[in-house]
This record gives sequence, structure tokens and C-alpha cells, in this order.
Amino acid sequence: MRKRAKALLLGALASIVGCSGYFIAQYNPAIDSGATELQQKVDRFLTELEQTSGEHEQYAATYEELRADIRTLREVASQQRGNELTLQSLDLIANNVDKLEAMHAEGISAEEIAIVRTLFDTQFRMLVQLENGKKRKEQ
Amino acid sequence: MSLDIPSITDTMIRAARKALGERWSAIRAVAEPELLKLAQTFDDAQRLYAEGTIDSARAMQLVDMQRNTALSVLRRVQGLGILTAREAVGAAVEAAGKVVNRLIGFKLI
Repeated sequence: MRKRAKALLLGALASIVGCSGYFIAQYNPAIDSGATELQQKVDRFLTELEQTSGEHEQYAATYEELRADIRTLREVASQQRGNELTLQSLDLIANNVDKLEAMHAEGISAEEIAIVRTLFDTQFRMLVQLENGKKRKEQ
Repeated sequence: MSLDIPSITDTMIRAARKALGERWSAIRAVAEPELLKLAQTFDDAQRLYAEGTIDSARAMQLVDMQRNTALSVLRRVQGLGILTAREAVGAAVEAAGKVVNRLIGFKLI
């Protein structure tokens, strides 16, 4: 009976040790730096939009560029196992880029841009912190 | 050789609890200010709607973006939770491993 309990305990411990590395992907500096660059790009774009009140047609290429950058980051993140949270975070940012574009096409005020800026800032900070959290745990 | 299972279990629980205890304040420190900031944007959108600056369709578009942002905060908190769980499991295994390895005489864990 005691031997069986020992075997069970050791088996459980071994399986925990074996599985614990797969909860979340390892830190990837390409995602960290890519997300930071994208955050700056979005912020510069919003500043420009705020100052110029530019028409949506003028910025169609900018929106495409932002979407392409997100797709690139997504591609990098999808190559690692356990990166679902990073992928979902990127999808949420992409979704907000689409929503911003829809609002821009209808006309957007400086006050609305201020709200949107806070939202993007939060989203990017959460993503960068998520990536940095992985790095800290590995150190 | 005999393993004191209740004692090892207790050691593991204490180690995990200690690791989680230290991290709980970190999770709270991330979530609370972000959700407060988000609540402020709800307030701003509500003000614009009340003033008649934006219509209900635009207010809904902003709410959709806020919802996505709230989900982004939750993903971050989930990530922190997973990393914390991994740390707690690691602490528990390490604590138990010391006892088990000493008893069996070689490094199993």
C-alpha cells in the first residue's frame, strides 16, 4: 500500500515537472520589439490624425501597413507553442485598428481620438508586459 | 526508506502558497489601474454622448473598442496567472524534490 502511494506521488510529481514548461511560450525579443515599434507607429499616426484631421482616403495605406505589421507579428508568435494569449492580444489590437478605420471613414473628432489613443496605449502596454513577464520568469 | 506523504504535501502547499501570495499583489497591481483607466474612457464616451457630440452608433463603436481593450487587460492578467501558476508549481516541486531526493539518495526531481 505504501509502495503504491509512493509510486503515485512520484508519478504525479514527474508529470507536473514534465508539463510545467508548456503553460506559456518562451520570451521572444522579436515580438517584444515589434510590439513596441507598432505602438509608436500607432501613436504617431493618431497624433498626425489629431493635428491634420486628415480624410480617411489619405490614410488607407497606413491602415494597410498597420494590419501588415500585426500579421507579421502574428506569424512570428504562431511559430511558438503556448502563445495563444499573445495571438489573442494581437487579434484584439487588429480588431481595434479595423474599428478605428471604420470610425475614421465616417469622420472622427480629436476628443474621440484621445479616447482611442488611451485604448491602444493600454492594449500595447498589456502585450509588451505579457512578453516581458515571460522574460522575467526565465531569468 | 519511508516517505512522509502528509509532510511532503504540506511542504508543497506551503511553497505554492508562498509563491502565489507574493504574486497576487502583482496581478492586482496590473489589473486595477488599467481597469480604472478604462472606466475613465467609458466616462468620456458617455459625456460626449450626453453632450450630443456623438450619436448612439458612435458610442457603441467606442464601447466595442473598450471591450476589446478590457479583453487585452484580461489576457495580460491571464498570462501573469499562468506564469504565476508555473512558478507556484515549480516552487512546490522543488520543495518536494528536496525531500524526495534526500530520501531516495539520488536526484530524481
